[in-house]
Amino acid sequence: MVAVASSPSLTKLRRKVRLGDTAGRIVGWLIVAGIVFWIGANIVKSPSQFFAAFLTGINNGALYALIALGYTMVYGIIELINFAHGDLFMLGTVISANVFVNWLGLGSLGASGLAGLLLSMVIAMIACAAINVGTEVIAYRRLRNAPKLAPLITAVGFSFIFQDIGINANGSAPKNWPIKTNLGGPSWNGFQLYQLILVLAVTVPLLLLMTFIVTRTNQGKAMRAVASDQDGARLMGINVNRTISFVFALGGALAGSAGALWIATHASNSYNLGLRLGLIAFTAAVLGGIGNLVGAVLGGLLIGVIEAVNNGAAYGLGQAWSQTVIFAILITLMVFKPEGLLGSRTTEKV
Amino acid sequence: MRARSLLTVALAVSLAATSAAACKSSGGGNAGTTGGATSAAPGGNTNANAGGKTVIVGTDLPLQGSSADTSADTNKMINLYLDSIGHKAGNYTVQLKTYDDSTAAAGQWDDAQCAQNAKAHVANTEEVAVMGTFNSGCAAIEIPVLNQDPSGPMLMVSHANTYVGLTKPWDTGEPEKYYPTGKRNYARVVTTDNYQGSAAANFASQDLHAKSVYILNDNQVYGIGVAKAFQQQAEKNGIKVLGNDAWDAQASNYTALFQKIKAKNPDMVYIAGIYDNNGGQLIKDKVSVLGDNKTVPMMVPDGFTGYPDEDKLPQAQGEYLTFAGLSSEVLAKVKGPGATLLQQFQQKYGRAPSGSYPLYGVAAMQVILAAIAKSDGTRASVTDQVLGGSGITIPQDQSVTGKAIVISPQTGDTTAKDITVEIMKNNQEAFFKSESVQ
Amino acid sequence: MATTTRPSTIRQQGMSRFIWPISMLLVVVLLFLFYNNIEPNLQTNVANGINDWLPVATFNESMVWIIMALGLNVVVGYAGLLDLGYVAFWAIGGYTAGWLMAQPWANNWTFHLLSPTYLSKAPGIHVTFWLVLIVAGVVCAIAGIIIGAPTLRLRGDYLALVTLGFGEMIGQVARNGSIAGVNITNGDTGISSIDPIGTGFFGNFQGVPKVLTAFDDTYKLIVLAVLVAICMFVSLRIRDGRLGRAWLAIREDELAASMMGVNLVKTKLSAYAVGAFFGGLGGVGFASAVTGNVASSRFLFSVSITVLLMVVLGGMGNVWGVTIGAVILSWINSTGLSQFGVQFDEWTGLHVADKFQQNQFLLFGVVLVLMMLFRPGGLVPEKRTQKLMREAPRTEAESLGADITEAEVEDEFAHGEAAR
Repeated sequence: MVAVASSPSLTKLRRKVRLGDTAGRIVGWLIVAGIVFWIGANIVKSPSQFFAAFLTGINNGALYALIALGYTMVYGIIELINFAHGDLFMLGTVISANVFVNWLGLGSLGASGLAGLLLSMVIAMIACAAINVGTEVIAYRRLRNAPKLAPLITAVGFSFIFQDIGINANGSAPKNWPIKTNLGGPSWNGFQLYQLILVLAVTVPLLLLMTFIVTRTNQGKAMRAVASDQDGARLMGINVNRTISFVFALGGALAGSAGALWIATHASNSYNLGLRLGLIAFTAAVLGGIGNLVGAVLGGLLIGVIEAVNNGAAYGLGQAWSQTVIFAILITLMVFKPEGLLGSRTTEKV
Repeated sequence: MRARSLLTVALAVSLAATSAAACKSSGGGNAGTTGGATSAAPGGNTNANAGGKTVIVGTDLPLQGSSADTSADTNKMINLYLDSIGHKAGNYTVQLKTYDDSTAAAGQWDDAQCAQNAKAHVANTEEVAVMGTFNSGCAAIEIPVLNQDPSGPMLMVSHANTYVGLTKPWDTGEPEKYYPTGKRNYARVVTTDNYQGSAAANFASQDLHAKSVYILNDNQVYGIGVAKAFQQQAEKNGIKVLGNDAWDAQASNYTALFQKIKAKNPDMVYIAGIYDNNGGQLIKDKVSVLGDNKTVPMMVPDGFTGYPDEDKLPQAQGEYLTFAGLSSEVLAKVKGPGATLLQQFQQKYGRAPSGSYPLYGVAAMQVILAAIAKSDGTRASVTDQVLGGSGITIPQDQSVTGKAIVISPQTGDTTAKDITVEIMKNNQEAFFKSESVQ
Repeated sequence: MATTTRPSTIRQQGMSRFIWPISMLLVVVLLFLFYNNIEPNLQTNVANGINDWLPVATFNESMVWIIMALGLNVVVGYAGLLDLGYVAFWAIGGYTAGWLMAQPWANNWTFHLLSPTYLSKAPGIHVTFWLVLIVAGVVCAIAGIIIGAPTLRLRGDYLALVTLGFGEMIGQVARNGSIAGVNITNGDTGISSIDPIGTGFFGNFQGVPKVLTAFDDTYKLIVLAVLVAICMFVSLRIRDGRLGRAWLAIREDELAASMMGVNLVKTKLSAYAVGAFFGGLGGVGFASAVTGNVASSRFLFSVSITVLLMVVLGGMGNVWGVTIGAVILSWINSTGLSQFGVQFDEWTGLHVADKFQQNQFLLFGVVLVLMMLFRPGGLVPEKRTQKLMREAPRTEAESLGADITEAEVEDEFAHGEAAR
């Protein structure tokens, strides 16, 4: 999809800003070495503690990845930082929890529970996709030629509206749903193997499906065409509006699936859940190279692991500083690799 | 052109707003009607047979964001109580006016809003006292403003501020810096953090026989204060404090946090904070990593009491809660004004109030009403009744908290220092024992 | 003599240039006179009504929001650098006031510098408001450059994320209070009892208080309005100057600007520095004149977003639009919405005020969406933005040649010279 990067003619100018490529590279490697040293020290100090934290991080990270995936898809096609995406995910938790508990009357994740989870996930996906497409049709479509910040502010507006729906449906305090999230099976220091399998069983197929849609189908080809040039795509006979709506539907469905998965693993939600997770998802998407699907998943996993190791391993700054640690690593990475982990440098059109 | 026409519209709107203000004042006739919910309340006997002067009491609570439910229930509960006593305090008719110290943009209490509310309390000439605030940080802003009110310091009675420094020496310059005129004007019906923390520490060493403890706080004034007090007393009692960490209310979960705690292998954990700060997830993750509350006991302060959501959590069963006075759940079973009020609330709204603070809001209101009844109806006099002379005492049979409320005229603190320890059992907070602290 | 041929247009321009500042001055003076002289003498009913709807404290708060919005306007509106962590400068400014105008830590020593006379014996550090303003501005400007430096190579949304990251980090430092055991911000407790503003020389006038305590809001209004005026003046002057045109150039097309010889590093960093300087002024003004304390609970992402809303809603790049946007949004946020709820109850006899308050999110959100749909350029759009929106975007044909590198251009140029 689209990635912002530097053009060859600019690198010359920018070289003056940097200390010089070699120096930059040395600093970059020093940072990498520092992170490796940090992880190594944690492994040596207390391996079991580190690996428990690491696996917990993978578990959380896979969830972040799922939210980031929807974020990055919408960004990829119309370059919109969709602030409402986190709140859409929050609506997904509200919908799936209500379906699972109030409608299906389930309380645990046994065999029938998993079927119920699947059903509530599908319903949440459909509902969130519909909501997301609705916002696109009502607002973003009309703002396509507006200044770039207009859709962003609209997204903030929708974020407020979604939060309001959440506060009315869920109350102002965090709500704990009567769902037994423990799937049984092997567990170790609070890390549950089956839970990780459940999370990965949703995230990985969805990632593969999205990659397949984007790279192998006609619809995906249309998406890539619209992303690179809307007018050009229109001239080629691509229905631009339909293609963008389709991407919003996919993004919404991903948010819905993440919401259902969140309920299955946490059994709690609150109206302002989307704020933090939207931030994390945005960070993950940029970390991986915004617009890049695999990058978003990688970014999500990385943030999950950094956070968990910082919170749970022997040498860490503790939870009070986890945001700072994540953003410090992110900023240093941005300085030395501005296009993200997997983002590609493309020539900018002038 | 469009810009100009829009400006005209903006002007027109602001004009309309001003004229609406004027309309309102001429139509409504008295500012007390802003507490519309009260004056038209089904009690009926509000203004009609009022012999004495009408005075207004303001409530100052965060009505938006994560404390919204508790605050709204506090207002409802106070309204119920005022209805039940016919809005009377001695010779005065009491009206309620609600203020909101939160904003939509912040999603919680907002310091500028608190400053503005404080000035609004003073500017509203018919208002004699304030019930609030919910957050200690907000109180720290409002107390000095109310204190400098030219028509005598204005009384504020809080139902939820537990930060010690507001009334007693704690940090540098406290509490004097909150009272620029030198006169006191602030009282509260909850015990301060230090009593609760040390009572919990005593319980931990004497009853739970804990040798080591890990403390978590929610990184807010209340949580840090309780945690600090607990830590000091626990160290005195010979308990080894393995750590005092903050938890992040917005973190997705706490599994990794508890994995770190598990590596230190504490005998028990003490969680200091408010349940609203994602306490449910914290409890669940505690049990999933450290084991149930029999293996590793868990203690929580009164910020965790009175939440039906928490009571139903299987993982919360067996936890110990400390509380100043009796929590709503225990109170509901004892006969008395508190139980009656809770029953009325249940009848009217079909559910229990959120948290224990609504009932404490009524307790604070009782103090204010008693002061108004004894006063001559001016602000200075109302304040003097509480923070001068012999102070205010609400006897046990009248108090909604099930215990006598005695306000010390010197500091404005409640002198009731006994702390109840409760245990979560069968989805209910059950009385366990009383702790007394010096 | 070309300049003298069209004197009338120049005079017209000159006139229109003064309309806004004069009306602004008029508004402030009228507000002051109204709240200082007329409002206290009104009937209780009317006074209470005004106090409910338009308390003077609301205007003071909006003054700070205006300063903030003007600062962000420099970064976002002028230079086109999307900053999502602007609250960082509010925090740094606020804490600078906390450190220099109160007794934040348990220190026994005392330091006074031109502070109001009545505080002369108070322990702690007490520096006069006006000096703290400059210190905070400079500290923020330096912080702005530090934050700006890593973003120089970044574009668009990557830049947004890095600024957001800095905002979150500074918010977290404020919340945690201490780094490695050194207490910096006092955490959630915050630093309270920040010195009020001393009026110094003006205090000699009759009726003017020596220090502006809690109830001298009308005089605080003047002080804050002066700060606003300074920010406006600086904004407008820089905008028309060389630097301002360089900002606009990099906003419209960074690549083209750099080709035309605009120094990107200097231009971008100066935008951050100026924006941050304003943020520092606002932070000090807020801590000293509006709340009297500085608490970490304010420094949230949502505040950065609110300031951005003010800028975009008012009209990005347009100083007057941004000012109006800030006034309207801050009034809605602090007073308007909740008063409408109370008023609605009174008119209809229903009891829905609490519902109103709970659903402020909805109203806020709907206003934003509608506003963007029907007036995406803001309330008072900048003329250049308007023009830009009417122009057709560049076509593919026009952007041909984008692949030619600098070296090739130089080559071609050299060849051309040789041929000639």
